[in-house]
Amino acid sequence: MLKGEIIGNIEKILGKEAVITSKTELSVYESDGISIFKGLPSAVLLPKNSEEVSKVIKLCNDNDIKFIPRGAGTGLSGAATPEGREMLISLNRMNKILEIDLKNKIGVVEAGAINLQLSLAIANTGYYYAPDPSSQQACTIGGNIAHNSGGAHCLKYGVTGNHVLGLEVVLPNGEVIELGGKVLDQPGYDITGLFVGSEGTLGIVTKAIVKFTKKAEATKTLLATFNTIEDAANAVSDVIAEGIIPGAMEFMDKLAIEAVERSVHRAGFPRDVEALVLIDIDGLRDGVEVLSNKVIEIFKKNKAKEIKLPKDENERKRWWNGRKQAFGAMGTLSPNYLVEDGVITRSKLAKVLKKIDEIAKRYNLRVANVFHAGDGNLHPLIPFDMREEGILKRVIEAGEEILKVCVDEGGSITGEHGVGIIKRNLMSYCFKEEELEFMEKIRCVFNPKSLCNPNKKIPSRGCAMPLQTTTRTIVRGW
Amino acid sequence: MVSQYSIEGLEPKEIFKPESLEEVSLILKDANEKNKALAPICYGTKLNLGNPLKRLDYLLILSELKNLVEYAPSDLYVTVQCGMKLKDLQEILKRKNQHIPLDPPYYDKASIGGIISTNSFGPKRLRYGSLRDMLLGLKIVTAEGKIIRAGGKVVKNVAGYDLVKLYIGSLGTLGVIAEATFRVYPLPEKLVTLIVKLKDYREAMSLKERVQDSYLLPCALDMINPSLASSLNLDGSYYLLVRFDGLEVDVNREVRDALDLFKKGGFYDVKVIEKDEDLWDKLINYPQRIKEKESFVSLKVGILSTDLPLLMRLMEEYNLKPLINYHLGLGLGRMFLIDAEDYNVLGKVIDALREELYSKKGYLVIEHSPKELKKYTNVWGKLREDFPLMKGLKEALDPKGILNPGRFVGGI
Ligand SMILES: Cc1cc2nc3c(=O)[nH]c(=O)nc-3n(C[C@H](O)[C@H](O)[C@H](O)COP(=O)(O)OP(=O)(O)OC[C@H]3O[C@@H](n4cnc5c(N)ncnc54)[C@H](O)[C@@H]3O)c2cc1C
Repeated sequence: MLKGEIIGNIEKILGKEAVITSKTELSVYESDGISIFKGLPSAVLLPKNSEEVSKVIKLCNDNDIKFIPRGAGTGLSGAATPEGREMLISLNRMNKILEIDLKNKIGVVEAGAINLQLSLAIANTGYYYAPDPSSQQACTIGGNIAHNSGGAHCLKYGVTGNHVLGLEVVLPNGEVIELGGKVLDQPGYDITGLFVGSEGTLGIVTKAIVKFTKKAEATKTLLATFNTIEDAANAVSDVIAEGIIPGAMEFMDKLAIEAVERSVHRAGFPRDVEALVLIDIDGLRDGVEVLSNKVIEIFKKNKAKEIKLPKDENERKRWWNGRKQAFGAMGTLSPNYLVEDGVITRSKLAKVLKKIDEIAKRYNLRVANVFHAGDGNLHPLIPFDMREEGILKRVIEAGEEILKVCVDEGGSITGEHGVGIIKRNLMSYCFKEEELEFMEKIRCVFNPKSLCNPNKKIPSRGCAMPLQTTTRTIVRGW
Repeated sequence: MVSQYSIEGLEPKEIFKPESLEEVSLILKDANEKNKALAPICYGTKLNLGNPLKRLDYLLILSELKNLVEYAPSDLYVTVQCGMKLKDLQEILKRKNQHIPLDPPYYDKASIGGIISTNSFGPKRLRYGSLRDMLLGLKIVTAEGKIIRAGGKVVKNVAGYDLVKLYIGSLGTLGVIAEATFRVYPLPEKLVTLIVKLKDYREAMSLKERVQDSYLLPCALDMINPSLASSLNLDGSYYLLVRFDGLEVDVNREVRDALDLFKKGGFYDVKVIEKDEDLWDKLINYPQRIKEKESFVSLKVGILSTDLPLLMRLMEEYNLKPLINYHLGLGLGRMFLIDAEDYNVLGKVIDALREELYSKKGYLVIEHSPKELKKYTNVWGKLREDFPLMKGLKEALDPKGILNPGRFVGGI
């Protein structure tokens, strides 16, 4: 437990109302989006600005207190879940959009700002913030950065890391520094790039400079249904092989469709099919027509049962909403679910989906597949009921086996949800020992005492000797 | 005597030309054990970039590591060894109607490894992004000779830290880049450039905004000043170069509508160049065309396009007469000085320019210059507040400081 004295000191910095210590309130924070891993924090802190974050972190650093940055807690790898009574530093109160610079197409936001808010703030300008995780109504830019989050439309427009130009971060020793900036290619190593995807293990992001993307002139949405998973998968592979990069190309199998159609987010998807592919072809007006025709041909060649255009904008929105709410809709199938996040090269979709099916059967589990097919980023969802004896172990093992297949096929164990706790065991399956050591060396430069989100992402091996930070000549980058 | 292998006057004591990754690894192990300073090079197009080396023992020439490792056209990726020239890689991809939309200087001479280490780019970055957006994976030989992988061949991957980003632009100071995997893209059906004659640079700024606010999606939007224009056989005015690429239907329409847009804005002197490769090649490779000149200086400036007037004002104030190529949509530019004579003075001017650029969060880096200029000013400019982290990374990953010692920011 924390000493009362330390909490007292933190309260002096943040104010009493910004420090949560009561057990009932803390229980809200005991997991992220993956509720199979739970752990109570010792306290939750709600700082209002970078300075407060810095002061609190200094205090933690001086007293060897472990802490974890947290955004909206929608993460799907347990990366923000305490394992040893760490304190949570919640960025929720730091949610302001600080600057919108339309001439340079750049925005500056606090880390706790909600992803969707950013695009809403510039609606009607012809620009938007491109990374669109399905959780975008809730998740924070800081969380997106920590996980290098993707989304359906990241296929063409790139993931979070491709849209972040600079950061303000509080290092695990409490120093506030700026990385990158509005102006590209600041001389030196690309530490911004390294920070993105680091799951809060290198420090806390407090502000971000992001770039805005021009909205496509035209978008054509198509919904293609298929009688076999294999045909649908091959259709996706063939689109990519043709060199066509649609705005988005998503895949849902029968069970995923079933879940959505049973939920409040019913999209009107056909239910008598084995799989559907939902695709946005976007770009300039005429090119969109040319490419759509090519895509339709490819779908037909792969025995599409039906290829539909939405009747109107409403129907289009319903389809996309149905897709984006698919994880939540799993609740209509079972009380719990586990979502995996493997990546494979796109020509192997059919092969790997078949293997996933075999694994599920072997473990006597069901799997719903709803994923970013154009990226080869699989999301096998395993619905289950926690109350069933021994089921969790089975579910986790099946999930791991699926991810191993992805690695064996030359892919990765995670495309966007991160390693967190849940995939830590598998890191040694994808990386050689010396590669893990190498990454640990990097972590030690930033986080030498391993106080900041300890042991997440990479199984911790401890740091040799804390490096000295030298005094600094400062040029504020932005 | 200066041999062909000397780097800014430093002679290597031993020269290696490995033919496999394993050899590279052995050489690095050896260098590390014996604390020998090692400089990895390929074809030597940018040896002049950076601070002079502090010491040099081993020269590691990577030009024999030039094989294609794997090409999967239908999965849109290719893996090559880093000694391959970008030009040769593009030739391979072209056979499958694909390419990498990267158009850096020294296109025909530079190796993949060199391009990655210097984060080279060209005007097309506007539409296609930089190496950060195209590289999927790297194989790296560390200072200790270990072979490690970063990223992979899939387009999304967040297992482990994003070492790919760390190595792009790290100038060979953190390890030897041995292999790289790129995304590949379909070749555009058509490329067309519009050359718009301008009265002054301000017109470039306003045109940039008009283009930005329209539906048009140029892949490059470059301003050149009168002296650079002359070297491209255009008359001595400011020009805006707008390049369109993509499907033929789209490009045709964009060209038509762009011409309209320019006319409406009162710009009537617009040339339409259909076979535009030569033009861009000449512009991008300007340094190469004049490299013979001893005194040639090339500067990279970072300044937002809304702050371009500051840069232009400074040029007048300090009576500098560079050739300027400014990438409007990117906020990055290159300036070339051909006849600098007094390096002492030029060094001071560069320092003064920098102070002003910093006030706008910009910067200035010397990309190429005679060694003498480096006596009077610093190549990289002031250290930023993240420098201690950079130093920390260097010390952690190259503890003996054997890789390109001194060359990078802050003498890393
Ligand atoms: C229904 C649903 C759909 C989803 N769809 C997608 C999707 O399409 N694509 C996708 O990529 N992800 C998706 N996710 C996963 C999740 O939403 C993303 O990972 C998201 O970016 C997490 O943001 P958060 O604010 O909730 O972060 P949290 O869960 O609070 O934290 C996640 C990680 O980020 C760290 N962190 C948070 N804030 C900071 C900060 N300021 N500085 C440093 N580290 C920080 C935490 O320590 C933790 O390691 C989905 C999740 C759900 C529940």
